[in-house]
Amino acid sequence: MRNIHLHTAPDALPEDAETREARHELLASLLAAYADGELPPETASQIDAHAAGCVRCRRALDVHRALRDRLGREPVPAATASLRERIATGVRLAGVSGSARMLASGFATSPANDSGALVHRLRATGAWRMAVAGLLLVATILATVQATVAWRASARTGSGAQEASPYSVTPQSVPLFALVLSDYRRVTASDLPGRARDLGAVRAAVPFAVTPLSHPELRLLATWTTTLAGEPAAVLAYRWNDRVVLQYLVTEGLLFQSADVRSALAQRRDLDARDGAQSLLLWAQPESGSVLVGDLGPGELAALHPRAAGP
Amino acid sequence: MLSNDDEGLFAEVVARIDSEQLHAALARIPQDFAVAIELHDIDGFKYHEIADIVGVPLGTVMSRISRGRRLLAASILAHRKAWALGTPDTRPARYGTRGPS
Repeated sequence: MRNIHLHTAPDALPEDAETREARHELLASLLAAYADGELPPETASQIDAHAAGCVRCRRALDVHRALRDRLGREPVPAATASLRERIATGVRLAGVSGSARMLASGFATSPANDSGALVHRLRATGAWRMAVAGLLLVATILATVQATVAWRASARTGSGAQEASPYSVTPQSVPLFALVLSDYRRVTASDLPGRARDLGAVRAAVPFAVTPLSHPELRLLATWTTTLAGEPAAVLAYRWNDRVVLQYLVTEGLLFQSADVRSALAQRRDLDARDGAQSLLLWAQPESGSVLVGDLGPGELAALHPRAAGP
Repeated sequence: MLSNDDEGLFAEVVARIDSEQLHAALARIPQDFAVAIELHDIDGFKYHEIADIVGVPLGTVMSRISRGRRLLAASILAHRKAWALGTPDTRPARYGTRGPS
């Protein structure tokens, strides 16, 4: 299957029509997120460059913006007073300043239009949805905040070094592992998409520090950026004992999404997994998470952990 | 999904439709898509918050909002003539089972 990348190197050969169309299709699928300001800057700038010369994308962007603006004028569905109070209390306890209109407006009162059966049904659906949304949001935020705070506190006091053995899981049980494994298999099936000298550009493109691993027999081959579940990530490729090992650096938001990861890090443990010939090892570091993956045994990956290299 | 002419016309059409017409159009697209659009465009949630709420990956939220808005635009354009003529809106039941997860 043809590999389509979001961006081409400056010295790349001109694309053929099929590749250009494939790139258009890929970027077109991101236009809603682009219009909503939900893409990382690097991806957004690629769409800027593409849309400048693509009338189809510019028209599609106008459609996304027109709908978003029109829907944004609709009143927020009502919730009961007791539900509003429960959700608002939960959100306050979680320390969240909600960006959502319904939080900012204190769950606006019922819209005046109550005539149509469909509108009535949508309002009922809205109230139910808000109940589930609020409680799930609070539960997730509380767990994430608790794990993050615990991990950061232990890191500050110097007690955060993971001393116990890694917590072993299956890659399928941790979405981040599944994403990394899939991406690893894709990129190692052909030429690596970056170069080692791109490190400066990669550092500038992601919102966390990118520090290559240090090991006497480890050599940085290439680095590039990607997105995992829509979040920016940096990838560093190393050669180690004639094998390729990839390190994915991800945002804290993505790292703490999984309950298994939160649980393991709260216990100051790393996470590892094995799937066929590949092993993965995850650990947290200041403001980011790191996932190491390669065709190696779990014990071998542990030798590359910064803790193994010493201070 | 939309022709170039329709896309050019769309901003003008959508600015004129009323709330009931808008919700009728939302009811004609798969429910998974409509919920993602409503959570973002009406309730004001961010994509990552919607992913937490609905329990799907962020990429799925992106896809549902992107495809959902295109379907919604097509639905609005398909019914604009009926609205202009004052024809009663025949609203099919939402086809929630048709939407990909």
